[in-house]
Amino acid sequence: MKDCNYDIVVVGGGPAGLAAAISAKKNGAEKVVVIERENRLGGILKQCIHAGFGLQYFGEELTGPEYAERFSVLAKENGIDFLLNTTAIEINEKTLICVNTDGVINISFGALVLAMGCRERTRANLMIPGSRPAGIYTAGTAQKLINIYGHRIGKEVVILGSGDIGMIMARRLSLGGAKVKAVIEIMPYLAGLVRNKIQCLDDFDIPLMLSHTVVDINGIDRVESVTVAPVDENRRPVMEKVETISCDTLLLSVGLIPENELTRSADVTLSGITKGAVVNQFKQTDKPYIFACGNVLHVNDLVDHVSHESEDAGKFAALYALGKLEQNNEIPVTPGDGVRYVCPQRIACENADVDLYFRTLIPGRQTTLTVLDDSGILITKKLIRTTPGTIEKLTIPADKVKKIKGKIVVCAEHKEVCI
Amino acid sequence: MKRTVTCTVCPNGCEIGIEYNTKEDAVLNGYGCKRGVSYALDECFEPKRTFTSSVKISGSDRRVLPVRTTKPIPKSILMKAAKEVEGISLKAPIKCGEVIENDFLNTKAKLIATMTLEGENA
Ligand code: SF4
Repeated sequence: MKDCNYDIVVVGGGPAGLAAAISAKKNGAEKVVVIERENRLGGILKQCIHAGFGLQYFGEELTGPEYAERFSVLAKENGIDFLLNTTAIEINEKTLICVNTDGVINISFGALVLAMGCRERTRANLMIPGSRPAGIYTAGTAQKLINIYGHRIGKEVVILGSGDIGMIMARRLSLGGAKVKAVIEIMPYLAGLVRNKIQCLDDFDIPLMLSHTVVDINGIDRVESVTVAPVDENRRPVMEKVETISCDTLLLSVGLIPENELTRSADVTLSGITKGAVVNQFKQTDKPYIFACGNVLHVNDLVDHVSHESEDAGKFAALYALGKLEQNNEIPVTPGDGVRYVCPQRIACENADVDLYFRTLIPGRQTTLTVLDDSGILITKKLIRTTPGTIEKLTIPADKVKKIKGKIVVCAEHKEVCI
Repeated sequence: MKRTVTCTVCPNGCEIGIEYNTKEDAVLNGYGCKRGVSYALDECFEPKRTFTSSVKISGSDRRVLPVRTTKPIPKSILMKAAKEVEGISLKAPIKCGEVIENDFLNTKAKLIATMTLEGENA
């Protein structure tokens, strides 16, 4: 393929990229292309064969591959171009440099949408000591080996981290005849969704060990056991109380990091907390022709949210490319008490609703969520319970957006802390 | 009998208390909405789950095809269901939504493919 020019170039053919591309097309962009490094569209959803996707977006419960297929069919119907087996390697002003088996391709664009997703944290990120035997996988790698390649990975499994993928793999392995001996979580509360604890751990009598961690991995050729210790309130292991759990496999489900190497090549400002780009409500980065959405922006727990967010990114990227996105003064949005981060980090005071997505710091009940500006409370919402594992959303209505004074702060206060 | 069930229908995750001798005389509290009532009753008397897994397939670039039941099946037969699908072996091409078994383990749920796999030479 020769060098070419598109109104909108989307990097990544997962749920975020597909939703952004379709929305860009629907909002007037004529030529839209999706760059995908794998040979199939769908991104991580291809290996998420469990159900639970689409309850919000489609109002029915789908599996990951079905959710992805609905979007890829729509994308094809909308006349979007695809470059599969192609890797984007660098952003140079308004040109994206890609490679595939044909060689190097320079694609110039009106606007670029980043939708590269995220990757898993590994043993190296955690710095777990011990030998280096076979049998240690990140949960997502295990998921790919089992659900895409049809392999079996082990008979006796310990899972470190109570993230959603780890819990889902606990169920998958149990149904496949393996014994999952424990899920070990360093924090005093669950990292993933409560639904997954019930359906993946409780259903199979798998113990969840909160406030514990793996301090050693034993075995030379293959994992033979892991050493587990409780942790004190500073998350330091209490070595007097270690125990050994025999196993042949250790899965790590210890967090996801947005995959932003490409973003850095464009000098886009990244957030130290979300590890994704800093954006306004249009999902526009500080390079006005670059937009970001999905897990490359901030790690989401529900794909339904990703689809909605990415539709915004695609829409505003299209408007920008068409010269229809006005640049107004922007004000900062910051996390206040009880809130870890808020996305977007800036908003332009337009005459339209603004959705704020954020995570709380610790789990609690009877939580009051508040959005304030310099003159006082803009909106509040009460929830029965909140956890850092679930993204919260508040919408500032258009009439209030216009009148915002100073900066925006989002706070969360629990009546009862659940630790 | 007395039990607490965490509702998983929506993210609120209400903790619903149930006291019962039979399904008919069950008394519930703590639910945020009506959907929680039927969820909690189901959890106590006939817990069900949507079953998802994968089956062998030949003639495609993938060796396994993801599948699911079209409605939840009794939780008690999940392990049996997992054994059952191990014996299934299909040939590509197959379309997402195609029925593999009409009455999966006599549950009245269908077992369907959840991904389209073209044949190898497509
Ligand atoms: S009872 Fe209603 S409000 Fe509470 S978790 Fe269930 S569905 Fe949600």
